[in-house]
Amino acid sequence: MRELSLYSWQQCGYVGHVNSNRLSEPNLSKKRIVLYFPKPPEPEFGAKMHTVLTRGNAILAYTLSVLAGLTFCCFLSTLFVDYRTEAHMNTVKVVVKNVPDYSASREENDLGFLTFDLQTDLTHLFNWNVKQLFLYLTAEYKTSNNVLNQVVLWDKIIQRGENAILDFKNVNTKYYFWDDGEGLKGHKNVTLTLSWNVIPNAGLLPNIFAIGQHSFQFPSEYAKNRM
Amino acid sequence: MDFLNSIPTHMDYDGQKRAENLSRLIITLFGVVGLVWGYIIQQFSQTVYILGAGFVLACLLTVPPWPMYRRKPLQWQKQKESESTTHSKSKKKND
Repeated sequence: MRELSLYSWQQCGYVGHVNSNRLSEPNLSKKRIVLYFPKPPEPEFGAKMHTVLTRGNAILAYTLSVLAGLTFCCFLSTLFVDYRTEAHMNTVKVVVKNVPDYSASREENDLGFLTFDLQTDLTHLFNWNVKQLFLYLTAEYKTSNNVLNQVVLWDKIIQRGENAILDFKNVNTKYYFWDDGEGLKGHKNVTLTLSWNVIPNAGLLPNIFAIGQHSFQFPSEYAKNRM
Repeated sequence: MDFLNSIPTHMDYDGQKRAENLSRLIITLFGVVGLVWGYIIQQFSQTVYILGAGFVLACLLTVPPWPMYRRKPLQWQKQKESESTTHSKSKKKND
C-alpha cells in the first residue's frame, strides 16, 4: 500500500479524517480507500485578487465602471437644461442676381447676396456637459417650386472658453444663397433663423432654435453690377 | 530570474478581501468627491482627473502585496510522518 499523508485545511472546513485504525485493517484494499481532500475555498468576495495582475485588472475594471457611472450622472444633470436663448438678426444689404449655376445644371438660377447683423449672448449655455456649440444661420422661404426651402447661409463653431458674446455687423454669408429656380426675385417673406447644435461630453445632440428671427424681402429687380 | 521569482506577490485570503474592499472604497470615494467638485466648478475633466488620482492611489495601496495583507496565512497542519510510517510497518505485518 502506498504511503498516505493527509493534510487538513483548517480555514476551509476539512470535513473528516481517515481513521488510522481503518487504514491498518487487513481487508482494506487500495481500491476502497477514499481520499478526503480539503474542499476548495468558496470563490468569495476577494477571490479575484490573488495575483498582482488580477488585482490591477480588478481595480482598472472597477475604475472604468465608476467612470461610466459618473459620465451618466453628468448626462442626467444636464438632461433638462433649456438651451434656448434670444438672438437678434437684421439684414443690411440684400441683392438678387440671375446667374448660371455651374456647380449644378448651368441653368440660370436666382442667387441672393446679403449681409447681416447678429447679436446674441450664448455664454450661459455652456456647462460641464457642453464642449462646443455649432451655430448656423438658415434662410427659410416658400416658392412655387417648393413648399419649404431652407438654405444655410453661415455657420460658426464656438468652443467652450471662447468668446460667446456675438456682435457681428454687416457680415457676408459663408455659403451661396442659391434658389433652384427664380424664386428669390421680389420674394416678400424670407425668414432668417439662428439655430445651434449643442455638442455634449455625453448625451443628446439637440438642435436648438434661437428665440427671435428676422424676415426680409428681396428686391424685385436683378442686380446688374458686381457687388 | 530566480531573483524575480523570489519577490513575493501573494496575499492571504483575508488580505485579498481587505485589498478589494479598500480599493473599491478609495475609487468610489474619489469618484463621488470628483463628481461633486466637477459639478461645483462645472468641469467634468476635473471629475475624471480626480477619479484617475483615486485609481493611482488604489493601485499603490492594494496592488503590491504589502505586509498588512499577509498577516493571516493559512495554518497548514504538520505532515503526519510518524503515523504513516507506522501504517507501512503495520501493513507489512499484515502481509
